[in-house]
This record gives sequence, C-alpha cells and structure tokens, in this order.
Amino acid sequence: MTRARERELLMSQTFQISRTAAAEGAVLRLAGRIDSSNAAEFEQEVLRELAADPSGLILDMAELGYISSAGLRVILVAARAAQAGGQGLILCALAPNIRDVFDVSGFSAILPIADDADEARRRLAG
Amino acid sequence: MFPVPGRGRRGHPGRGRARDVTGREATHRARLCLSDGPGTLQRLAAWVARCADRGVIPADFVFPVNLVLDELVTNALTHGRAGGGGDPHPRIELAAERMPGAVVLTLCDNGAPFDPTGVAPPDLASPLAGRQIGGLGLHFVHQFMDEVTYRRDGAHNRLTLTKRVPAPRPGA
Repeated sequence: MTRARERELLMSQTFQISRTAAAEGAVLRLAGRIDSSNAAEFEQEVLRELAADPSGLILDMAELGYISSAGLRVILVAARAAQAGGQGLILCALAPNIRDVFDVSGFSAILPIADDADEARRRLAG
Repeated sequence: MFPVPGRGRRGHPGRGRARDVTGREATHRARLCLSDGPGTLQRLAAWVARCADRGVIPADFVFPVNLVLDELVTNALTHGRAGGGGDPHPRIELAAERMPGAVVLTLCDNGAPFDPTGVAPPDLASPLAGRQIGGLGLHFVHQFMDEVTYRRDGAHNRLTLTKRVPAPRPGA
C-alpha cells in the first residue's frame, strides 16, 4: 500500500460496511473509520452476519483507514461469538497503521489475520 | 493554527509560550475546543489532519496522534461526568505544539478528576475467551506517546503528552 493511499484512507470521514457472500463464508468489507461514534453500528452488522451465516466470516480491512479501541472491542466480541458458535472468523488486508494497532493491543497474537481476501478464503475453507 | 513569531506581539519575547526542556520555543501550534455531540470525533480527525498539513505534526504522526486523542476525548466525554466533581457540560481543550525534536499535545477537560497515568496496563497475554475488553485506549496512549504527565488543576484535568520526532537522516 502506498503512503498516499494510506493517507487517503485515513482522511476518510465515514464508516461503510458492505457484504458479499462466498462459498467459504460471508465477506464484510470495512471502509473508512471505526471509532466510538459508529462502533455500535459495526457491532450490530457483524453480529447479525454471524447469526445469519453459520460457516464463517471474513472481515476485509483493505479500505479501512482508522480504528480505535471501540472498534477493537467489537472485533473481540465478534471473535468470541464466532468461537462460541464454532464459526471461523478471519481478518485480512490490514493497512500498516491498522496492523500496528492490532500488534500493540496483542490482538495479532489471538486472532487469525491473512494478508489478503484470497488467503483468508483459503484458510476459511481449509 | 499559525507559525509562532520570534517575539510576542506586544514586545514580550516568549512570555507565556510553551518551551521544551532546553528553553526553546514552539515553532508551530494549533488549538481545538471540543464538547459532547455528534461529529466530535470527525472534527478531531480533521483537526489532526490540518495539524500535519500546517507543519505542527509530522505526516506520519497523523494516525497515532488521532488515535491517542480519540481515546482520551472519548474517555473524557463518556466518563467525565461520572463519580461526581465533573461539569455536566463536558468540554475539552486541545493544543498541539511543535518543539525542536518533539510534538507536545495538551488536553484540558472539566470532568471529574481522573489520572490516566495511574491505571494499570491491560493483560495482553490472556487468550481470546479471557481477554479484558477495557483498558486498551489508555494502553495506546502509553504505547504511542513517549511521555504522559497528569496534573489536577482546580476543576480541570490537565494532561501533557510528548512524542519525540526522530531527527531526519542525512540525505533523506
């Protein structure tokens, strides 16, 4: 990812979430910023997805420019829900700044993280 | 947000100006006042981006500075009224100053007394099921900043955060 692209993502002021279905499980693409002002919306979407799709879930962060601890809390809640339901949950395509936050919080050690959506699909299928 | 001139406007060089430990003055500074309400964190993010555009912070500080201020502002707006002693209308004044070799951020809020430097760090080694959900925001503050100093000043919490700016490499 180029620095210009990373900056562009970081400057995005809104949060968007979109869904695509795949054989291995649903993919939620997160875009923009996740903070305490929109984490509740993110939580609702991701828990609804886990409830609706028993196989598994990929959180694609390629377009995500920013996440605070409020967003990490939702990811932790989602990961626990997935574990309880026997579902796979994989994160993928983290920008370097986002990856830093996952490393510093220790989340990188407890959550599966793939480099890109293709790898995430392969791991979810395997 | 403006470059700080070498002398005070009324001929008092440096009066009231922030200085670093060597007594040198800030070269750029910016201020922002936030209160509770929709769009607060968007205003914060836009302000941090402008700080970089105007040379108050280096471009690669935008993410960590935004994150740390977001966590502290969110805390102050969420918990500042709890426990008594806080103003029912929370307000936070932020300042960013570019010093030689460092960026200094200050936050002043009218909430209940809260010393974030006295909070124990979260346990980052526990497995998924036992992982504590709270405490990460303040952990980020300590991880992404080099110094954090707290002072209770009358009805206000004052927090000073310093992040060192690495010297440019020769030829970079």
